[in-house]
Amino acid sequence: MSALFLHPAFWLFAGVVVVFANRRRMPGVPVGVIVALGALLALLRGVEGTLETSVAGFRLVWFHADRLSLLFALVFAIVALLGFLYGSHRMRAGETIAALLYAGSAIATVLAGDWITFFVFWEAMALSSLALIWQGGTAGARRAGMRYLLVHGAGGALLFVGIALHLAGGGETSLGALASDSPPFWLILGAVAINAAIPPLHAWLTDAYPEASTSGSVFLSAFTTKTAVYALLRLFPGTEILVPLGAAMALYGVVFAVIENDIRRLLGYHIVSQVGYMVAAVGIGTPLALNGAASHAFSHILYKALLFMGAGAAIEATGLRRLSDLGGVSRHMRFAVAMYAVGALSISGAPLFNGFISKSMIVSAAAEEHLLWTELLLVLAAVGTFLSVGLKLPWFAFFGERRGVAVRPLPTNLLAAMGIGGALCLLYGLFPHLLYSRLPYLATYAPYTLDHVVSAAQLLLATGLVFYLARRKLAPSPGLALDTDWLYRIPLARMVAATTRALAAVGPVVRTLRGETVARLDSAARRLAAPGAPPRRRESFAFRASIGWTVLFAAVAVVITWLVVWLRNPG
Amino acid sequence: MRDVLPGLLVALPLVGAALVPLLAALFRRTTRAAALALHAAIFAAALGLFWSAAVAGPIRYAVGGWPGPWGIELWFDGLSTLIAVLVAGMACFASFAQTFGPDPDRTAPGSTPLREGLLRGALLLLVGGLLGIVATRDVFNLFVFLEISSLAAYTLVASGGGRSTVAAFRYLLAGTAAGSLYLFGVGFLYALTGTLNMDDLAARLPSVEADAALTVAVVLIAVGLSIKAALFPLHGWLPDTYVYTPTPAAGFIAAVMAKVSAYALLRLLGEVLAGTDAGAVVLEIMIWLGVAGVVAGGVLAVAQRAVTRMLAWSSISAMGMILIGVGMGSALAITGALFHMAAHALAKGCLFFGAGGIRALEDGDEVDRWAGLGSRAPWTLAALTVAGLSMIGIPPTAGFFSKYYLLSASITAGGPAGIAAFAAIILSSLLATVYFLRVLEAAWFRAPAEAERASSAAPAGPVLPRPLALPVVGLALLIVLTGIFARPFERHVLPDWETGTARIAAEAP
Amino acid sequence: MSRRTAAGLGVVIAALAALDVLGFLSGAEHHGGFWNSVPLGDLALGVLGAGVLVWFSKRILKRLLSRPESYYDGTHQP
Repeated sequence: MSALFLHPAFWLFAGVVVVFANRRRMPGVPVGVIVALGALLALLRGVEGTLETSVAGFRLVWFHADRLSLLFALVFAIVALLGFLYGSHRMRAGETIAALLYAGSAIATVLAGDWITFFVFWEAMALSSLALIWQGGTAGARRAGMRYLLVHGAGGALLFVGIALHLAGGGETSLGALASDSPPFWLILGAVAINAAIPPLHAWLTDAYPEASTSGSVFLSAFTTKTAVYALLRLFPGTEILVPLGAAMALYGVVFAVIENDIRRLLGYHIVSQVGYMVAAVGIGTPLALNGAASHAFSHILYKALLFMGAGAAIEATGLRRLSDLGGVSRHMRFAVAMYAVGALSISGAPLFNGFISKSMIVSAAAEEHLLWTELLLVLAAVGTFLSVGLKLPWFAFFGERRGVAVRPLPTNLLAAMGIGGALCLLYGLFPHLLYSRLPYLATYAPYTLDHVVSAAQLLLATGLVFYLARRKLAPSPGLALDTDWLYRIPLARMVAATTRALAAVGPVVRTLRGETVARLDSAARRLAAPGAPPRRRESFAFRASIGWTVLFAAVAVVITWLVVWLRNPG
Repeated sequence: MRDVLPGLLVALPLVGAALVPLLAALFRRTTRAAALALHAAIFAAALGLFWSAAVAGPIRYAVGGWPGPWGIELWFDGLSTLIAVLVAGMACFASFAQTFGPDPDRTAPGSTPLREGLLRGALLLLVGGLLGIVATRDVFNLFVFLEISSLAAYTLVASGGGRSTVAAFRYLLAGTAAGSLYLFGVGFLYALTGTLNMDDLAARLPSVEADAALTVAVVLIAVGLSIKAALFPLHGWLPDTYVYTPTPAAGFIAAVMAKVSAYALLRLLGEVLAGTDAGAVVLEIMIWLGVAGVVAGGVLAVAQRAVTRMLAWSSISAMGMILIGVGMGSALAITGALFHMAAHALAKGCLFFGAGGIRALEDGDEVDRWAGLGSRAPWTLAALTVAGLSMIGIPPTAGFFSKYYLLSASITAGGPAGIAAFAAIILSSLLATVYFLRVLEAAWFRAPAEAERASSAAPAGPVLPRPLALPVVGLALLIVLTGIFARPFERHVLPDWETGTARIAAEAP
Repeated sequence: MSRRTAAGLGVVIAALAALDVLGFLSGAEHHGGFWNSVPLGDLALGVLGAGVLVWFSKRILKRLLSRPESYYDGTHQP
């Protein structure tokens, strides 16, 4: 039992109870900060070993710590802490509970040692993230949440079916790489691909994340996709199809981000793009590439949370979320803009920042395997990332033309969270071994070689030049861009609506037919029984319908009898 | 203890059913305490039998000292005692909820002490009938108990007045047709074998020539019980009955009534008639009808706007799932079916108590009426959320494990029926996700409508009165506990079932 | 772009080119695409790539996929 308290997620789940019990008295965030800190300390102590129980006849391994799972759990705890600090001025009990559950189940998912536990927390993550999206509180958030639910419901079903088939086929109960080309392999890969937002299964992300609250989207940016990356690392290392998928994904996110106008949706497309690097790296499958995927996930969570904090700061200060509405607000929020810049340089892979030490690892791994096209696509994606996150977004949101936007001062806790996030990005960028010493696979890598640094500098400079020349063409304009969610928002929705209408139309027809049939049978029976008697008033519908049922029952009995006889001696 | 409890289990509710109205007429105030005490005693007896059967093996009890196959026997193995515990336990909650009042819209004729006593008596009678069905080893006796329980149920359904009366009448017609079909089937069996005792039947049937009469007997019994179990497309009575029954009774009827009939189907088709060709074919057909019911129930639940009607359609889906398990008949499938009976009874009871109470107090049944309830009554809504998650099949609630067993059974069974069952159960989970989260989203994340917020004096306290709130919260706890401590199902119930069928197979010449 | 900025840029580019050449001369083991083996190859690739990206996104993708913000309003949605 004492081992339970070592499980970091336990701290977060216990926090839920405390917040719920005191939901009126306090906003709940102090608890969030404290329990996230508890989880973090539990992880930093380097708890190892396993914790298993037997529930409902299943052997459940709640906690199976190795270097891979601990790396993810650690960064999850860090970002949960930052998220609670960032949102503490505005998060109410409901949002705190959703965030605690979300962070807790993400940590528990990566620490799970068997399939059932993994599935349990995977689903808990989907539901609690849905609750977090719904906490956005707008009609848009509600509808986006419903669509999110549909996609993740389907994903959960795929995962469940895959796991059920895997276990029914005598597969291992503990988590491990799957035998390729079996049905469970593809089903589980499909489920993980949905959560990893691999196009065309990615639209839930860019649809729903911008609709959450400012603090909600910080949490959302961290957990779901990165848990999927963890699952890919754990279950599908070296799956070749992931290489082209990941490379295409990296570029896909970038080109959509270039035309995006909503600042958080733009950042959402860059989650897709950055996760593409990790997916490709998992596909490459060499120790260096897998290390690259793990470390890039680690870096990505930190800088992406920082970027969403920056976008959220702009929204909090102005109440605006579109590039075409914002502009010229940097003078009023210099610190937040500076920290955003740290995040932007990190995601762009600028030397000295933490994106550089992980992204270059993936690109080098691709180069070592002579995957020329993959390398080229990943380099192009890096260029596009700097173009839109590093230059376009800050230029049009923070600098650029002043539109007389009213700017409210930002609370201290928000700035503190951004400060810590920026410091961490720099810390890992300057001292890569802090991260490298925790990596799971055996591969050494030196990021700061002349070759890497010069190459990165040239790419950044080139991007800057192009932005300078094309800055007018890049000016944002109102409007939205269609993505694959169109498929279920228009054709599928219309199909469902048409089916519902058709069903609604069938009901009265059937009822009338049934009523008429029964009434005719009824009056025929009467005529037979008492010829010449005057026709009587029709009975109430309830009575006639019941006669109909009796006829139905008899018909079913006859049909089944006939079937039985026929099936027993066909022909 | 093994000599006394079986008799008590069936006698207590029947005697109580007569006693409680009498008490109500004479003393007025003691009715509630007496009824609760009786239900608690029945529950204790059921638990005692469950424990005894689990520890010391099945109990055979000859009523009046007349042994079978001539006398009437009661039979308590892991399977029947499990259902008995479920019925008696749900009855305790329902009896507690009866304090809430009989009618959904509180317009029915005044609730006099005598009337309350009569309704409590009807509930006891219903429990007695259901426990009789569960325990009896005699096919004709089963018919008698079926009719007793049905009559008591019609009374409870009709007690709401207005539309409830119409619903009760329709239920009565369907139930009577079902009972008649079953009785005809039993008549055929008796003519063929000359016995009514289940063990005796199972032993004699193999020597009976498989002719049309046997087929007709099997089909009539199956169709009769399937109507009571609301197997699609024989479910017509169910939605209106569940929706218009007064809340306390609805929580009980929706939770266990159809399940007891499904249990009877399992006993008769899965055990007694399993050896016959016709029985095997009927079970195969039952899987397919179950698949159709799972899908149709789910789709129509999504189409509903009223919460209780949505719950009723979701019950049709759940009954389809249980009958799929019964139809497959493997140990895994039976575990799944039994587990789903328990999981669904707990969740549906919880939801009907909650949704019925909210319908009465919010003066409406639409999803919108639930807006903002989460902040007004967080504990109740948390309990209803647990029940909803169990219906969807989210671990670690009971609903997850039952679906897991059923899905594993479908995979193991294979073939077109197995694949169809598998796909239908997965689809029903997705549909349940849609229709339950729609309600939960309104309750937790939507503010109440502007007009309502302005008009109402904002009762910030609990939404449900205690007679309903306590069962709701208690059942939610049980849902989680059943999910986590599910070992008894595997350890006690299944081996009994397997040895039972093995014994029958061995006794066959 | 002012004259001074342009001059500064020129110096930076020249320095990068020199470092690139230095990298080759130092004979460090070298992996990667052909653009890495040409002095200022990364710069050229960056300019080309960013240009193509802007052109593709703004000229083609935007024309194909851009809709007014009210596009999804009023449609029947789950």
